[in-house]
Amino acid sequence: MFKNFLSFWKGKDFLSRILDDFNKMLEDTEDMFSLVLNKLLDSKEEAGLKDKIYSVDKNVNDLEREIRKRIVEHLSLQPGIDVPACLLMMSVVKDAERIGDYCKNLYEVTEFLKQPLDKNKFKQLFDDMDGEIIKEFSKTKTAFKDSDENMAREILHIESAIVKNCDAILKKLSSSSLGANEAVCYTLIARYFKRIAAHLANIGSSVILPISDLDFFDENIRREN
Amino acid sequence: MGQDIYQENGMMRTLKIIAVFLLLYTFLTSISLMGHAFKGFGSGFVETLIKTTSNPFIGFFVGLLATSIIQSSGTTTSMIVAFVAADVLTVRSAIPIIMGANIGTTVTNTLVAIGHFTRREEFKRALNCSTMHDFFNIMTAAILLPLELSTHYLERTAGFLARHFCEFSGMSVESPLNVIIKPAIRAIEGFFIVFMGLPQKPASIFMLLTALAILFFSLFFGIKLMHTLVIKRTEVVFNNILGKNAVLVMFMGVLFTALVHSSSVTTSLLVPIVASGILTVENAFPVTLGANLGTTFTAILASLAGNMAAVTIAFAHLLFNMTGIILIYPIKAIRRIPLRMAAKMAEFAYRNPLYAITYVFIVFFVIPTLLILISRAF
Repeated sequence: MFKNFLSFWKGKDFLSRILDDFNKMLEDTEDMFSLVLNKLLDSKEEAGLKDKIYSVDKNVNDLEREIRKRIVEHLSLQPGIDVPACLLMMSVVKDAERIGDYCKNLYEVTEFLKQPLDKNKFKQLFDDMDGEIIKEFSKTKTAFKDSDENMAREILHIESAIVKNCDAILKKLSSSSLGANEAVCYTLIARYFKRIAAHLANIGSSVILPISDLDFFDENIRREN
Repeated sequence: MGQDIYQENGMMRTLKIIAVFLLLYTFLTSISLMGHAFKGFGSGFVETLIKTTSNPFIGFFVGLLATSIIQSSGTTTSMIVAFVAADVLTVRSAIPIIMGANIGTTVTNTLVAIGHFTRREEFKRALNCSTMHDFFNIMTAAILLPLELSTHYLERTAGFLARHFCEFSGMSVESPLNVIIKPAIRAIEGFFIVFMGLPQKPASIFMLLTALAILFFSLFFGIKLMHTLVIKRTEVVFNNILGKNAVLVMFMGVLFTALVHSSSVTTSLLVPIVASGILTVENAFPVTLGANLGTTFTAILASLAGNMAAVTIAFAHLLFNMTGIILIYPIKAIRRIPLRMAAKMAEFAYRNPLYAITYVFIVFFVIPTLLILISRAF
């Protein structure tokens, strides 16, 4: 019991712990996205993928709850300390949790597909959007961890391009002659890619935006990029 | 974001630790000074005071009312230790006052809980948490006050422990601390009697007021300082331990309260956490019990500036709280009683928050005042 107490006493401080947990959330969601993409594009499915995706999503949700719990404990025990950081974390954990949900939704699209996606068709519509999102994951983790403002602006630039392209894809699909199943699946993929990119941008842009403006992007910042 | 923005440098921390020791010195000086002041009032005053507090029920409600007003059982019990050390109070008459003070201190976290009244569900949980402490202490006093009046077991046991403690620490000859405190006492006494030229009784009044001022100052700033020194580490422990082993959690409550010198700080910290739903009342309960034990450390510390009688009453305080925990906590059916009472109270106040305010006003102020007046009349 004393050994446990000693290890508790020496534990990391509040901010370090929640940052570690938040980083874990981003890593988990990035893994989910990569795994689902492999299945979507290459029809490569590792054994037990569905269970793995759902399990990782549950971990992400649990981490969100744990971070929120710690924030409330921290502000109760030390009111006035780290308030902006706490408010920011309460907002961004929601974005990370949503990314997890959208990755899970993407997996579910693979189950809707009656036949594997045509890679060429996918490339025609989405170009390298999946690669851009992977890049956005990496930049978001770095920007948030290091408070890198330049990288945060790059993330907004990437997200802006993805949003435009997704809207263009939806327009194309609405006038295409694709079958219902294929069209619906492509629409959902575009929709989920857009949402994942947007939530990553919310997290990345928290480095440059004041707390009151989180999730609301100044169009000037977008235009600067 | 990767850096803790609230990082104290080593110099600031060292200064705070020095300040804590200085405040400890002033705290002990105030206790000793109170005793000196009372001695100067003469035997008539002392006899009147002893007569007044010889009725245990008056003593009990005086303790309850005084602590409700001051909102610090540490202050009240320190004063009682000083009074006992000065032979103004006997140990026997001081014990019921201590029991009353134990209940009076719970008013602070109930007032904190009432602050949540704008959000009903939060308010209900907050009040449940705070009144759990009230009902536990009331239950403990309800069992132990009659027991003490009929057997004086606390007085006897504390006396036995105090004798051995004093022998071991050298207090049977003279408290080692008095050696460093005496010069300050002499200086203050000399200021009023020699420098100001006051006669004994007026000088004693000023000495008493000075002692009270120093006591409040020492405890107030001591609590604040210790709080800032230990809170970061406490948060780490809190997060890791809470909700787990009850003994470990109780120990954490004892340690934090003993360091901060305030059970109100500990129990008030729990209220918003329980109110938010993160911690259940059942899991908060052991922390509250730990706080009950930890707060006795202040009285024990105060008694080191006194004599064996002072140590006896400090130990009686400790034993009272320990007995309460041993009687009530281990058996689930008994442990549930204060929890259920608190839940009922919260349910009641949920319908109308005014009931909570009325409860505080009546239990902590009206009833003690009325019963003191009625007891004095008869």
